[in-house]
Amino acid sequence: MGEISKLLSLPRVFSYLVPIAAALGVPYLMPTYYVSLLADAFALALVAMGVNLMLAYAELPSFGHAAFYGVAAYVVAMAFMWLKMPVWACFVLAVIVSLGLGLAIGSFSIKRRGIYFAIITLVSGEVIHRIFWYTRAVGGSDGMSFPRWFELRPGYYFVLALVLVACLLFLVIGSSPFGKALRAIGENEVRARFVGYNVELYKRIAFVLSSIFPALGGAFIAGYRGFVNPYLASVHISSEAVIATLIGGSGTLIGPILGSIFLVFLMDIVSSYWVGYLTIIGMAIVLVILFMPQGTIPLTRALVSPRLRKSKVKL
Amino acid sequence: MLEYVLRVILPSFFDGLILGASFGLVALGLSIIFGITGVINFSHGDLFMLGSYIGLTLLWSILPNFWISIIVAALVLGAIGIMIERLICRPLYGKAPLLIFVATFGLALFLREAAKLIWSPNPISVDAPLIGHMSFGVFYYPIYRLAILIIFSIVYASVWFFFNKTKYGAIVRAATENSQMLACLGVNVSRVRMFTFSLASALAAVGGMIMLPIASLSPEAGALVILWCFYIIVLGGMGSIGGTVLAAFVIGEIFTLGSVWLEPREMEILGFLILITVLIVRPRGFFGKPLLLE
Repeated sequence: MGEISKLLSLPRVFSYLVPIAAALGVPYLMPTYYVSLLADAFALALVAMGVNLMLAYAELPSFGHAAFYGVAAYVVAMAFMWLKMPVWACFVLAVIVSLGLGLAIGSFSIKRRGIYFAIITLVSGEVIHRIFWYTRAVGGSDGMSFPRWFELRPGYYFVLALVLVACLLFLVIGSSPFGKALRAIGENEVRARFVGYNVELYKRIAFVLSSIFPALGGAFIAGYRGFVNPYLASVHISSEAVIATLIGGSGTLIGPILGSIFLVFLMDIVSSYWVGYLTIIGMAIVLVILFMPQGTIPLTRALVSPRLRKSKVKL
Repeated sequence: MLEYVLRVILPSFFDGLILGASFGLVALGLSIIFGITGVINFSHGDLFMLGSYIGLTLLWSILPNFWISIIVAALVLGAIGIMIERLICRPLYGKAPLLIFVATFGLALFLREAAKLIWSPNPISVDAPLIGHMSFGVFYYPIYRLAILIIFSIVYASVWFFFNKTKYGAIVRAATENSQMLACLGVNVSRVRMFTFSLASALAAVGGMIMLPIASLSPEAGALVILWCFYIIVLGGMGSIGGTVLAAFVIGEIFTLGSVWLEPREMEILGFLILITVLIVRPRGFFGKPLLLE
């Protein structure tokens, strides 16, 4: 827990408190439209943090984390509408189901590495997406709607709290002996195996843990919008999460959050000027990868960024 | 019974071959590129789409003939493949494969949206250049589809011939095994990669153009095709050419033979179940190479 105490030193604490204070003040300082955009960005950031956990610690790029996002959202919708469960119980149930799904997908996907892992998770996520799409009981491609849980401002604060909890969880996992072993595996799997770590078990646990983050985001977005549809589980959300992670800088705590905010605002702003805005987003992705493969972290480090890893992040 | 087989099963089986062959051409390109460069080109499905649109535009404007426009579209896409390799992939070789995956994802988004702007998002369909049916007793089949079967056989035979019987094919195969050693032997591996990208893009265009009169074309086609190609690659085993082609035909047959008895959604879910079973029982697919650490 040495790293935690290091993180509690005074300048570090300031570097956390300033953005947190700014985020708390947003609903009073900005137009409601931007507050709702920011809430969307935070929900995406939760997915991105799950991706980041796998990518930064275990070096496994997941393109299927929207599966947990979508499944959690649908579980919340079903539990709320059909079982009339209270809100907190819906959240708990969503996280539990998501953990189970993480166990299932993790059981075969972690056997492969690199780009093959990306494709297996992508395919698994898309299978979940299509199953929602085809199941008429949950509304098929139209999805389901139910009364919203939150108004804009309480919803914003709720998702902000979720993001902060997720940050803490990320730090705790990262600084725990488990997280260190996981990073050792990510850096050199062969060596970690020779040292005697059960590599597959560690990766599997990491995959299951990483499903908690998108589950929280999905459960929130369902209650916040009062609406779920198969799009939530689609490869679009998964890839947005990966792109947000890469843009922000993987391996950092705040990178996926900044990346998500950047991506959501960029899409919103560009789309208000031109119908063909996605061409610009596509080109922007290409250019960011070509010219800033380390993400925008060299830029954002100048602002605030508690780096978790001193070494260069190798993907 | 025999009549049922001839009238219902056999045409569906042929349709499955056609569908499998067209998916197979795209998945094959994806698989060869992966074998040689270790990267997955996410925009490959959109090259399939782009090839069809370019061929179609040429057909409607300057080219007299459907078959000529297939060849021209393949050439144009071959050139586009070279551009993609040189401009996007080459600066990123040696870095994480994920970066090329995401960069080509961005490119795929760009191509798809650009196609919507240029050719409108609505699906279009084209008349077959060969009209009429062929019948043997109760067996009844469109001539164009029979022609496609022959063309696909020729294309696959040439691909097989190229890889197994020519010197260049041997170099490409050697590059999938060990490109460093190949470079030491004095082969320009960078050029082999460029050539492979070009060939794979041209194959995607051929697949897209040939399927034009059968399936309707829309800018979203690429995104659908690439997903199916991912299923095929996972099923067949990454980097294995034979496994990819076999898996493509398996998927094609599941779809068309399945549609005789099942609804599309039931079929797709059945396909997923098969896929997940294969993933659990044999995570490397039909013919995938075992990894060092499997």
